[in-house]
Amino acid sequence: MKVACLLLVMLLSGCASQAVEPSYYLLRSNQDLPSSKLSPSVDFALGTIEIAPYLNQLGLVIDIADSQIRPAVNHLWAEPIYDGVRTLLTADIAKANGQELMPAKLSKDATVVNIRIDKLDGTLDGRAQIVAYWWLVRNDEVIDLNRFSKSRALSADGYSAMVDAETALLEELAKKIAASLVPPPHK
Amino acid sequence: MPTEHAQVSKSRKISGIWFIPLLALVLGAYMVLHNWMTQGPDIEIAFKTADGLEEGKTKIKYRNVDMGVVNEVRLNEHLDGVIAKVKMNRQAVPLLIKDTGFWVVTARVGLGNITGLNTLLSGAYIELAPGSSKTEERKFVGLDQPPLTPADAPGLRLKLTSNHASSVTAGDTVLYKGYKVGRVETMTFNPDDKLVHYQIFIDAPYHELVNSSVRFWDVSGISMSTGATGFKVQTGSIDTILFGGLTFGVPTGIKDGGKVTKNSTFELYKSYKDILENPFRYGAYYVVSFNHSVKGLSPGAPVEYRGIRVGNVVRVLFKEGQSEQIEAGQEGEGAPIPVLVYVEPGRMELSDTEASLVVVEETIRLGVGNGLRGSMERGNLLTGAQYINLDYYPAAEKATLGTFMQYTTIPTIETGLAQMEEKVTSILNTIDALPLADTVASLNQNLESLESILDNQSTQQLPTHLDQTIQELRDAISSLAPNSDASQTLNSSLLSLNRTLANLESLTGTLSRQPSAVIFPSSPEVDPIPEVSEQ
Repeated sequence: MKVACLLLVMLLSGCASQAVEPSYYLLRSNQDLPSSKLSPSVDFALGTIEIAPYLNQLGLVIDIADSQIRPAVNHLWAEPIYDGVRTLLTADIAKANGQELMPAKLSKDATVVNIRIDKLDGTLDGRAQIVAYWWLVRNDEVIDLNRFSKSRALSADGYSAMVDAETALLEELAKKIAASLVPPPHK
Repeated sequence: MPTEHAQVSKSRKISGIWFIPLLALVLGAYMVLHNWMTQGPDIEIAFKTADGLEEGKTKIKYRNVDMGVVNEVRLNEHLDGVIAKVKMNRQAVPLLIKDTGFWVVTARVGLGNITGLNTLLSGAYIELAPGSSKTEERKFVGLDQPPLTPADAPGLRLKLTSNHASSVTAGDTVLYKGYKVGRVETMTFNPDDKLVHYQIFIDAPYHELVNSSVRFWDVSGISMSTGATGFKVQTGSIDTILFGGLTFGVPTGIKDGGKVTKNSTFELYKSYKDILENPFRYGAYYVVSFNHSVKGLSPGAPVEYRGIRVGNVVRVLFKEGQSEQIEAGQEGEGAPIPVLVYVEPGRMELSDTEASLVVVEETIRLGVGNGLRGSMERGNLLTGAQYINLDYYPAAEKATLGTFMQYTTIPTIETGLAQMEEKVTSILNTIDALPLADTVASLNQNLESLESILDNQSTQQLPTHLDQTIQELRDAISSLAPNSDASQTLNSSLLSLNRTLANLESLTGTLSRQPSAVIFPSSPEVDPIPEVSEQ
């Protein structure tokens, strides 16, 4: 009887410990996106966006050493990172070019833009970094291939500043992609 | 009285009368010496008869100069001829060599001329024709007839063969473009090869006209032919019309050949038309065998290589094929029918020589290894005339040259109409063998059953039900579209599930590191915070 009482006390004391509330972050463009009528691009369409598998998790990723990462437990993405990246890039490319990139299956004659994000994380010394590739495919032939690799210092300590820095890096990537979309001379 | 003295004079010691016998002695010695100095050797000449020969009278002449005289005529030891012993002059010694000829010159009346009329008064004599040998000889065999050409005459001696005895005989003229350039010396029939053999001589300088490409043909008599353009009459010279003769030349379209050596053999063709039909000297016989009808394939039919005529069909060896089959113990099994063909290199733009023939034979041998096959093709759809075609079929089964009798065989392949006919026949046979009546009866039963099923009310309602099912399926699929409520709900549920799984993963991580964390509170895990470095 004494042992049972002791276990109950210990269990109750364990439950009494205070849990840490997780923080959720969203990847969205920081630019102003005013209401306007959008027109779909006839020359270009969005193909695949590939995200490195290590990024495909809820926790934000910290690069703590060479080839060593740590996903945060209490700082989480509010949605799958794939959706966040796709939403941000399409919005910023559309803003830069004035035309919305439609899915490739809806624009069969268009040049297809394919994107791959190899790296998108923060470091303990206060930087965010990105490594990405994009390539244009026309008539089953790769006509352009580019790489974007950059890091950016955080404006403040903490994960919120890291998400802001990653957002800025993705916006910069969107501008580079938009600049590479030069329409072919029409027949 | 005066005394008269007798005068004593010396008498002559030798009487003058002795001059006469002395003179006779000197003359005799001279004659003996002259005779000894001019006398040549004794020779023997064998003749069939002693016709015209007289001992001590018949002379030996060369260019009408006496060279000796017949001393003795006697029968030979077999009693089937005579031997004339002749005393020759010393001047004739260089002429007594191995191939020197002797014959009796008498008056002769031939078809073309009359010779030896002078012997009617002077008597027969033996003519000598010197040879060109270096070997001395004292025993000779006399000729029955005077040689038509002297042994040392400049020119070219050739041999001709023919498979039929034409009107050409010894002594006939050899013409070149109608001009007499030689003569036929001998004509014999050889029972071994069943050919008539001629020896002809072409006088110099006309022998230069003979090369390996020339053909000889008979121009005896008058050749007549009829055609669409009327009658054609061809003749040689008047000599050849009356007495026969032959001519030679290079057929149109054939290049001049190389020089020929003496005693080379040529074929004597019946006519120039015969040459035009068979203008080439060199060729090779091959046998191609077919397992189907050879109707329409007649002797003389073309043998072609990809449309170019390279020879002709000689004949169908049906009898020989049957014999071979019987010898092989395969009678009654439907043996292939062998066809003898003749392939000529001259038809392939090659020179008409033995070397070209060797090239063609080697090409065919190598070609068969690479798929060269013979096939029978229809040359004329109206007449049904067929010909042999040679071509490469790389996909054909491997084969090599074979033998049939003394001939080389080329493997064959069935192509074109023959193959099509066989396939159509095979298909028709297959259709014929089908149980069509039973099948149609069974099909009718099945159609009746199908009709009753289709007439069934439930079957007729089936399309309506099917339409409904498809519409429901479309509705179900559209409810799962990316912008549908179900899709949104599903995405939301998956996100919640992901978070739950992440929490569960965190919990299992904590429990694996600190199993007592269920009872004893553990310090909450703290994420590393990125900090702006001070630079």
